[in-house]
Amino acid sequence: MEYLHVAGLEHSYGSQRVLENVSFSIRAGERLCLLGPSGCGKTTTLQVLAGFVKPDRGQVTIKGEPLDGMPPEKRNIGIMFQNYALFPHMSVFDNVAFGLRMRGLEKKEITTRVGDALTLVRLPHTASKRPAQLSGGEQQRIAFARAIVIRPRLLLLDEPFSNLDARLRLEMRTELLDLLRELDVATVMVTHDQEEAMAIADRIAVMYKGRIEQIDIPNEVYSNPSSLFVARFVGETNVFDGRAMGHDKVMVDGLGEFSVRKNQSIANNSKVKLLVRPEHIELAEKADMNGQWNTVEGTVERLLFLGHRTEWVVRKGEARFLVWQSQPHSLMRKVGDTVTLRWRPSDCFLVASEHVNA
Amino acid sequence: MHKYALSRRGWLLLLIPPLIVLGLLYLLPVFNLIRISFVEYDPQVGIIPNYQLGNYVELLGDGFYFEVLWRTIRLSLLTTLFCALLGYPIAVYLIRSTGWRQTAMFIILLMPLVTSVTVMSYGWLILLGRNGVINLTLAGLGILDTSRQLMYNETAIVVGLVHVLVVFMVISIAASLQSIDQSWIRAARGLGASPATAFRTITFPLSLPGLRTGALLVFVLSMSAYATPTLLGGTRHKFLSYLVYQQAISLYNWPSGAAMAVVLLISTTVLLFISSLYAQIGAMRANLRTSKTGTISGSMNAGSET
Repeated sequence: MEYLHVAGLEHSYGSQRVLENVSFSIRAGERLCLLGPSGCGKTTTLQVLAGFVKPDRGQVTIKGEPLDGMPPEKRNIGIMFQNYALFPHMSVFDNVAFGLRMRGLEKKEITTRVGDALTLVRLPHTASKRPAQLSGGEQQRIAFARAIVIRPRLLLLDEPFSNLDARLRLEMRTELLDLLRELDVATVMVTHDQEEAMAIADRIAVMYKGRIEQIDIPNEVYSNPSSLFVARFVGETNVFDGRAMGHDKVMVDGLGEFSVRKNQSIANNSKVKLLVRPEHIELAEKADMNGQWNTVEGTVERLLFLGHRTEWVVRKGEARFLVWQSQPHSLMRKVGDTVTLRWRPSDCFLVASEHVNA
Repeated sequence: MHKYALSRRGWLLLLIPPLIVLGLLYLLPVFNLIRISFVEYDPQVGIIPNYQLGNYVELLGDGFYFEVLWRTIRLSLLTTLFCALLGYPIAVYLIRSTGWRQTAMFIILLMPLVTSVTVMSYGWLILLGRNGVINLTLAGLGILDTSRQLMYNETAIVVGLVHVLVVFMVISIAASLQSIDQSWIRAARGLGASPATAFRTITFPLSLPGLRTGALLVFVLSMSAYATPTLLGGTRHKFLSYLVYQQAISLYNWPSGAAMAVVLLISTTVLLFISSLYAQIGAMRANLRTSKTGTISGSMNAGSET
């Protein structure tokens, strides 16, 4: 059952098109993440939902009710801004109470609901403080409390973690996810960080140049990217130019023939890109080899020990392979050694070459 | 510490030149002014270096002097009020407009500062005079049968002062409006505030510091204004600065002029002090209010947790 439905959004700033036929819908309680680089249109989409930007074309409906032309104050949508946008001249209590006062609630109920919201984000003792007296993480939690205390129909999160340092970011990510699960509110989040998107979202919409490139569950977006752009933006990928031979074989320039996962949409003999994730490539002993693996022999050019994994760059001719290994035995090799790389045909895939976006 | 950071002594050294300039050009003359205001004056002999309170006693008994002092304060307050009422919308327009509109607005605002006050006051003369543009137009339209005296009254003084000084108000307010993050307004809108409510609850309170600075500037400048009130107010509506001028330059009675100037200085300072006290009390009361609501919710939370 569709809860929020977005159909055919088009928008331009002057001569620059920022949204091109953006359509998606989410179910009640679902968390969708708009993921993409800056300028991809994700923030504009969020502002259209909030009512700050009126799209040139397209429609937004919540439970079948169209939102066109409805001003932001009538939409009952909770927004958490990238910089939190806490009112500096008001106490934490007044910040959280703002939306409730606008709704003309009784004083007693406002006090109760603000108290509950502050307890939910575990900051009841900050009620009388000013936003400037709070740490970044605390400010974020207050901004969250302010957004959800109005019991919004939809929650919008704009780059919620970008203003936090790395350690706090991980902490707040789990905390926010727990809160969102508890509240069960339909959420649209915007981010440029693929890990954040995967951690929070039920589904991810990868955006590029104003269009949605792919919309799917995180696992599918990662292991089955629909384009070179998606493959490169979501995780690291080795990319090689080649020519398709049937639906499940590819001839890569300078490396030879490889078997790949079947892709019916690729035309025979067309120019393609072969994509392999670095963690799917293994270092093999020669003896292990059999016909089921794709193999390449190359020279170790670089070796970086990063603790939880070792990062290798293996070279063959002009081609370079990025390889991530978690096994400690890989430490036995050194730069200049000849190694054999192998990966399963099901772990690599082809995308059409004319889709050269990235 | 940063390589190029100045030591404490370095900062003090840097402070010395402005301190010297301030001391020579401001503190010394003011000290001298205060000193002269206590000196005795005889029309035949001139200044007698005999320190006494005679000049002040004379002023306190002078009804005319108090009338002028009161007019100066009253019209300065009115000027400040009208500058605020007129300046706020202009500042909002200035912030919101872009390109040539903003430039044009700036030029219009800065024009009075570039033009000499005398020239401008004669400009008002052309508009407001007995045979001025406004009188002739109104007579021509048949609204007035005889031309009215629009010049040489208190209204003309306020009109002229507002014209010259509104730019200070606009620039102060515009500066504080500029520092208001648009995301605050958007947050307020998203939480259910109409544009008017967002202005009342967010924009206006956050622009108050600019309004206060602008008001202080305009008030101080109009308290000490000389040319505009003299030219537009005529002989019957004098400002205190004119009386000081008259005593010191026309009558050569420096001690009496100095005493008047000191009273002007003191009344301006007292009024500024009252206004800053008022602002501080306001801020204190706001803090008290938020901490009160805080404790209410705090105790409520404690209750809900136990």
